[in-house]
Amino acid sequence: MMERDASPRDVSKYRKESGVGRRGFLSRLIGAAGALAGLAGLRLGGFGADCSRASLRSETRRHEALPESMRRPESSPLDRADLEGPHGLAG
Amino acid sequence: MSFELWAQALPRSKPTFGGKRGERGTGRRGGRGKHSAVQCSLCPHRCLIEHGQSGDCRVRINYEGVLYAVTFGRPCAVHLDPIEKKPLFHVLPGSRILSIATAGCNLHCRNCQNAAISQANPEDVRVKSWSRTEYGIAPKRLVELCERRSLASIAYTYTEPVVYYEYVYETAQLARQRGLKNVTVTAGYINEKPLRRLAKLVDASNVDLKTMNPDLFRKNSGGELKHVLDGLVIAREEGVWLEITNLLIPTLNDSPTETRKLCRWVKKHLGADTPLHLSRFYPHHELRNLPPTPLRTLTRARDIAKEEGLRYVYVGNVRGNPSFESTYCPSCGGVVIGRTGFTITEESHEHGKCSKCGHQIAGVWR
Repeated sequence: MMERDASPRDVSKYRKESGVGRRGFLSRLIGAAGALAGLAGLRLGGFGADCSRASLRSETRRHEALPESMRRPESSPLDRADLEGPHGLAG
Repeated sequence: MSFELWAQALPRSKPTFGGKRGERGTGRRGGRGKHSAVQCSLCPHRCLIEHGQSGDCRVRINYEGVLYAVTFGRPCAVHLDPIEKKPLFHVLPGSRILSIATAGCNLHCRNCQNAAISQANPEDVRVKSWSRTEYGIAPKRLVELCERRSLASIAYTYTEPVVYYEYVYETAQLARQRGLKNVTVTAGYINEKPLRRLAKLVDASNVDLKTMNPDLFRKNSGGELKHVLDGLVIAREEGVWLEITNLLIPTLNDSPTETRKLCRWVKKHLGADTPLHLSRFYPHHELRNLPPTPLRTLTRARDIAKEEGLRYVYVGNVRGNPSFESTYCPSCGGVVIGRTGFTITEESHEHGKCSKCGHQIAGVWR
């Protein structure tokens, strides 16, 4: 048993020796997956993007005030079929 | 609130060419912020635009006293076409060209073949994006695409490049730096100042000279013909290679008198070496009541153009007649470039110099 006033270092040493609280494979896997998901989320949001709530609220208000034609229309990624496929446009 | 909504448009838009605040009496002259009307100085319409409204082109919008081109970096069409499709027959023949367009047009032709995008609101068309994470296509990406595909030129076409002027200008600047050629396919309805600025970056242009009748131009397209004619002369002065398209619409502009008038004007102001594409009309948009142009009308118009002294006359939108689409040497009469549709079938020249007689054919050959 540990002393009540054990230091963090003692706790760490105790856990290492006894195996209590040791992280298993599954736990590590879940942790890694979480980290990856976090990174992906950051990438989608844009590194360095100001994602604070205040900023989002102000952006939303600003967007709602815009004329409809200034808002962001739907998009589709450019692919080979888009580029090289037939199209009915003249010119 | 969805990601799409808060990631809004303004940062991707560009203030437009020469927008001036609060000109001409609207009762709000000199106002500030959202009370200021803005006059667009890009095209001869010179639309006076209130806050929240767009000009005649639908894509240049006044937001709180600043005019924005909301289609900047938002092409709705991106394709690889044969350059003959523009049509440009004297510019890098046989090459493929990256062709882009955004929504909107400053004319409203009743016979428009691309009305689905040219007469559409910018929010109603689907934008082409570079990737799933990069919305729209930035100018540098267009140039990158050309380099990846080993293309030599970019065309601003399908709708009216004048209305996405800033996008054209920035892309053309980058393209010029990388040695790519810039081509516009336009109706030429633009003011002198922006035209001269853009013309310095444009290598070649196909201009649709719709008619020589000002009343018909006003009625059928919603503009003043004078500005188009002035623009053609300015573009020639600035050294842009010009090819002219004239769509012959039955009963409207297909009379021999009008064709002759057009040919004389082209020869006098642009030169006999300017290629003329006489194009066949097919029923479209608001002119579905008219029949396609008879072949007889087209051949008659071609004969008139040759009588008037134009050296390169083509008949377009008619498939299966190589004599309509091939380039003949004006000196020896031999075939310099044989074409069927958009395909080159025969080439008998070295950088535009006729292989038989050595005559230099006018154009952009390298």
